[in-house]
Amino acid sequence: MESLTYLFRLSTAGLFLDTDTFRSQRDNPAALRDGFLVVLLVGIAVGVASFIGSLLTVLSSPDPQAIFTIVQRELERTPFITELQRGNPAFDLTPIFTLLTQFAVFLRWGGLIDAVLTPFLYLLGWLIYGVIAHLAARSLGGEGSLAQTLGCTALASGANWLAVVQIVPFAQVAGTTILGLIGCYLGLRAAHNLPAWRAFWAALIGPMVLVVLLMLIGCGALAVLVAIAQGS
Amino acid sequence: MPVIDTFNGALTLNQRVFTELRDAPDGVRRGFLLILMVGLLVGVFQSASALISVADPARVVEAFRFGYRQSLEQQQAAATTPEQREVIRLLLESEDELAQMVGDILDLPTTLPRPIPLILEALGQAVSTPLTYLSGMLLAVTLTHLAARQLGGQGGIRAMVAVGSLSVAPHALDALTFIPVLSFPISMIAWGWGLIILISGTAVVHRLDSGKATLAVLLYPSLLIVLGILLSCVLGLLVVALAASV
Repeated sequence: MESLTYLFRLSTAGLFLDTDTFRSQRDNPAALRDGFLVVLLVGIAVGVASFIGSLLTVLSSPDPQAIFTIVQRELERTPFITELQRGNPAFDLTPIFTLLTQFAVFLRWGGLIDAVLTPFLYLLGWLIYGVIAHLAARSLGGEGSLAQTLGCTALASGANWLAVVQIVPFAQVAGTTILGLIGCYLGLRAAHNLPAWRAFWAALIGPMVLVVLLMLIGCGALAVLVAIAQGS
Repeated sequence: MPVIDTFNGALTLNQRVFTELRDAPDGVRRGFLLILMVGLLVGVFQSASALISVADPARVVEAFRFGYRQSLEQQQAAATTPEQREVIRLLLESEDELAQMVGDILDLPTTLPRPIPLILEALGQAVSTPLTYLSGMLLAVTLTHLAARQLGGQGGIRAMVAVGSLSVAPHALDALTFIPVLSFPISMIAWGWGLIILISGTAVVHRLDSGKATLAVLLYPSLLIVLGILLSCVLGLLVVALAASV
């Protein structure tokens, strides 16, 4: 088992885009195992930070049910809503607010569930991205093995150290996606000895496929909604 | 080189600082340290200013009333049909109830005693500011790097991130944006100054002349703006077509 200091140093190489460490990771015979441990270490650290932050956020926020009770009570008193109810006596805000309250309660505790799942999600994301990027890199003339691809792209998860800021409640994480993608680009370039543009496309094919899929799903959902609206 | 010297060198467009950061193996770490310093400075000032304004619930309610009334009065001036005017009149008459709602929500108890949530919220805002700057810088640097390589640039992304971090230095001025009258001019000065540093940094990293470096910095943002306008037009037409068909 590698020491925590070594794993931490590996992961910060991904954060600070240290190209020499990416190259030495390619030649590391235990690249896959070390990569797995790096992603796990970062995932656990972010998960713990996020758990503490989410807990403090819950303790620092008023009960969402009480908030929605006040919002509903005051809205029902406004001339705007009373006028609406005069025109349409069946108009009732209660079902909307019941749904909103349930959603807010779920979101309130959802942060804690997310925090527990973080290491697993990071590992899953790394494996899926690594396999897609490996196939893309090989098809673009790359020479690296799957273990080298995964070992090098694992270092890019060091960008997620930024997410440790979530230990402070109400803190917003930003920049991890772009920094992670730059790390993946450097990792693929090192693992496969690819020229710059080919490494760029290999790094981006996975996210681009994901975006296209999400857009297709979004368009499909919109079409279904429109069809339902026209049918009713 | 201490971070404060890097900061001064960035503001004065000192080419030696740019070249040194481009070639330094720890250039990215030093660039991020600069962003952290500027971000925390701005974050502390802005969150302290926000903390003072939210500490008094009566002031928050008053600010809400002012913003609500101002927004509706602007819409009232732009309203073209009697139906629109009627809706705005009803909304204006709802001001007291909505202000009461804001006041009641602010009075709700939390598990942690009253000043702690406010302090934690201010702390959250302060520590988020460096990440906001970092995120913006990374996006700008990535787009600039792509354009610079297409224009014949020879630099690497690592050097570009390191030197691009210097463009955050002028945003230290954002610490003063809590002064209402100065907010906009200060933001524009910081943004323009940052743009000049990014152009200068791109020229150093990619060994391009200043014309090509300027083009590299502005190319993709301009294309994205044009694309955004076109997309919003298409989306608008789609919404109109949908509204007409339903």
